[in-house]
Amino acid sequence: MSIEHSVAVRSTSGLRVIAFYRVGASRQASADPTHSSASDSWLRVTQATANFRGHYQPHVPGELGRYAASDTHTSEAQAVLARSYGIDAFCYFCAWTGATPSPEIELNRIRNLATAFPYCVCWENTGPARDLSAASSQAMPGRRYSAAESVVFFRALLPLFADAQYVRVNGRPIVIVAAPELLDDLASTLATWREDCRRSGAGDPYLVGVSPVRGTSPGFDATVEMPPLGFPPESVQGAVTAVDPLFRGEILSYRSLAAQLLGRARPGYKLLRTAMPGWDTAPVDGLQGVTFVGASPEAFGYWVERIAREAILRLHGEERLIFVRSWNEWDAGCHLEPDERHGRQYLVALRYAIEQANQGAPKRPAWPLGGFPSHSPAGVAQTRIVRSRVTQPLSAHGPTVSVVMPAYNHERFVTQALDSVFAQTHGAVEIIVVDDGSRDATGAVLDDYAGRCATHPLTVLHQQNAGAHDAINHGMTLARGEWVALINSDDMYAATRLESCLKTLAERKAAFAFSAASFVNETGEVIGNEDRYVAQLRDEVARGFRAPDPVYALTRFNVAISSGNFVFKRELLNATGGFCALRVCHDWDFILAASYYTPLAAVDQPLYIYRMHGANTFADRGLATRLEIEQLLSRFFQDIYRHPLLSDPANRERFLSYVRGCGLDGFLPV
Amino acid sequence: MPASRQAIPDMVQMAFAAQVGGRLAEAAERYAEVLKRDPSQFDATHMLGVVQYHRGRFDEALRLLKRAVELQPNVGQARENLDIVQTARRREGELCREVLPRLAPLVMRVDKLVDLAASVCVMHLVIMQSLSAQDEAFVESIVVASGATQVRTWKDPGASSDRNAPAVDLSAQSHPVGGLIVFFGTEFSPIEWFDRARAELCLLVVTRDEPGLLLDRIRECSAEGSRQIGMLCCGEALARRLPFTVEVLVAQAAPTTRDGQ
Repeated sequence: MSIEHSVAVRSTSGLRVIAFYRVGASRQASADPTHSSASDSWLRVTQATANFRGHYQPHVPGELGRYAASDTHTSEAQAVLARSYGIDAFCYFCAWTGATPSPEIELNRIRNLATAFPYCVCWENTGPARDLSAASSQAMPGRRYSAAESVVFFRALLPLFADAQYVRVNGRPIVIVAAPELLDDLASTLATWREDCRRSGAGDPYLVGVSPVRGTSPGFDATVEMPPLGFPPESVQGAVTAVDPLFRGEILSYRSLAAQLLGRARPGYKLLRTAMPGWDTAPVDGLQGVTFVGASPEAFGYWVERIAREAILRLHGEERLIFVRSWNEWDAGCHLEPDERHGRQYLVALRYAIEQANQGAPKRPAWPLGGFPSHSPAGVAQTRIVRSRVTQPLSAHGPTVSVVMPAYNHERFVTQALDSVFAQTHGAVEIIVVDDGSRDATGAVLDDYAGRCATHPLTVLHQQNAGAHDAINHGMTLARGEWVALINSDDMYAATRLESCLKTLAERKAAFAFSAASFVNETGEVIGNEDRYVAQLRDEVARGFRAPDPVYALTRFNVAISSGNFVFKRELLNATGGFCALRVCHDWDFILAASYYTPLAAVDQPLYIYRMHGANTFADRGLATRLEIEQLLSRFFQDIYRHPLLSDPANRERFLSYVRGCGLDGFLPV
Repeated sequence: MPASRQAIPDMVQMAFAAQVGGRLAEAAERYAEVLKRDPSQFDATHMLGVVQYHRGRFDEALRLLKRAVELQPNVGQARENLDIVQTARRREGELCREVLPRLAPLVMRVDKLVDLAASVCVMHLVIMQSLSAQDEAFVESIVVASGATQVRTWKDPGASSDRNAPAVDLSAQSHPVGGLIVFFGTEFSPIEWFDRARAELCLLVVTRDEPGLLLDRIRECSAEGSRQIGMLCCGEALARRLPFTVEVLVAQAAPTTRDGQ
């Protein structure tokens, strides 16, 4: 992350990053050019004082210095800097509040600055008070704008659309309105704007409204986030020591705000997302300042990467936009521009995040993997294999099943898992266990087991920790059976599992099966429906068995529960590829991929014994999991019209209507 | 009409009006008045929980919403609101865990504490949290494992440690200077005096699973990302949850460090 580049980041996904930009260091200066000079604005910023222990104030400008708002040399330097860290355009706040007859003065200032870099405009019709004072979603009531005033603003904007540097979406000039709810006669105002814009020859504008957390902005083409507006962040007032007893401001958690915004469910409308490097109004509000603590380049980088990945998944073409607030809201402690303390760290974090997001979702590796075990991050040198010596083979009939078990830190459970495989009524079994760099005694337990095992071929492969998906792939490269069955190192098979699954697979002419599951606790006792979560889980799984096809239920939930519940023909891997590098949902991704090539046979008997303990439950779809689910569903739906389930027109309509009913229509290809 | 003579439904109604109007502090006061008169009043308990969430007071919101669910378990809205606050809390923890690996470049691997301590003339051990008996054992292990000839022990003014160590006191210009600074715990921020300490090396000892605090301390101790810091971890189970390769410290009197790999 510390590697410096001097060239512009080229986005491979078409994603564009737009940073909000305030003309002048303070919003007073921005809102009213006569109010204060640039030096006054900087004075306010650089003379701010800490309100509590550890409070980072003042923010002293770094390499760009205390520039004047009209300094074109600085604006050129800003453009170079922004471009080299992956920013594609600035979105200038135009804080016209009707105090002057026309916003031309403000817009001309923007136009003079914006010669060197793409730009667009956000009409900050809230006045400066709204988000300075309102850290949470409690927006301050603002002045309303008549339809005539709104039209005056928009008409003053029209000449800017002729500028080649003005940002467009599919040829449409983008305009953001900070508070659509303050515009009277919104529908007719927007219609007039669109008409005026078309008449001027600039085409239909791409109108974006800032909206509070819930709901879209009616009449707009998209909605944009504008943190710190959004969810209420947690107050951390009690965790700091105030320096000044007169301090009456608010101290809020940056990470709480970011986490809640990132935790939003995928909305049913176009949402352009925004990340924020920090927020602190102490320069303006002094002892009444609102300060977000806990911001860091790393947390900001994560925020940017998440919204960039989501934009790539959810939006298409030139609508793939994300925003950063802000390039230079210095008096709100909200700036990407370097300061003395952090230098370019936030810019570096931004660029790294964009680069990561542009790499896209992990893909399933082509099968067979190229050269065992060189595909693995662990590499040959880090791999060790221990095999059992079969001196008393059991009589075995039927096709050979290669049972593959990825094992990690399950010293307490792995013996029971292996015992359950050896106790199968289907005898033709080979077992491959991949110890994925366990830090407990799992490796030693496995070696000991292999040393004592005389009845079955048991291979224990030790590798450096590389994740469950890699361990499964690694194990499957050693598989020689016609069928592959997986099992987690903390779970168990019912004795008839393989026999029953193979029977069902043959009956249904399928190449993939999974069964119902029973749930046990750490000590192996069955967990009943008194456990609310397990009861919900059972309901979800049961839905999968009732559905016309398991694929229906799989669009909402992994009804197979876990990769350990998979039994499939080894040659299926040639079509699906191996398991992809999703941390949690590689199993769900794989079963959906398999559904393109074979019917899924759901065996309605609890033949898989899933152990719930410690952190292996999946009661909540956490931040990381939610992104993975979006990634795998996007991939699944990408070719959905070629899915065998949709080959029959009646089935097709039924399935698509089900998908729409589940609110998943956003995943359907346009 | 004075609140004392108003009917409770009216008081709730007025509080609700303040809440809807965005006057959250007033709404909180009015709901609190209701609860003074009737601590089991469901609507006030429930709505005050919602108001406190909107004011960022999550602990209070959780307490009230849990109480509301107890009072009327069948009111789905209270349960949903409780879930919203619980999820908000959980999400922040998740975010911290996701962010932690990004700080890995700032954390250097410490193979032997004794080597680190030997390269400096003085080791300052700063107690940054209240110490449990087990923590005390870990502190002893650090002193023994470092083999340092000069160890000065300090405590953060906020840490209610019983140790007979001077508290860092900026007004008296009493704080560590130079050498190896070992921060035991992550509870308090050293940032106020850290610049003046001019540490040659900095080592963070992690004792609890608090990713948010760990994020903050790594940033601070690394001088906002401008240098690397060392890290030790008290206990194997905790080390497994960290995204860094760290040396594991075992709470014994003898030096028993071993590779965390």
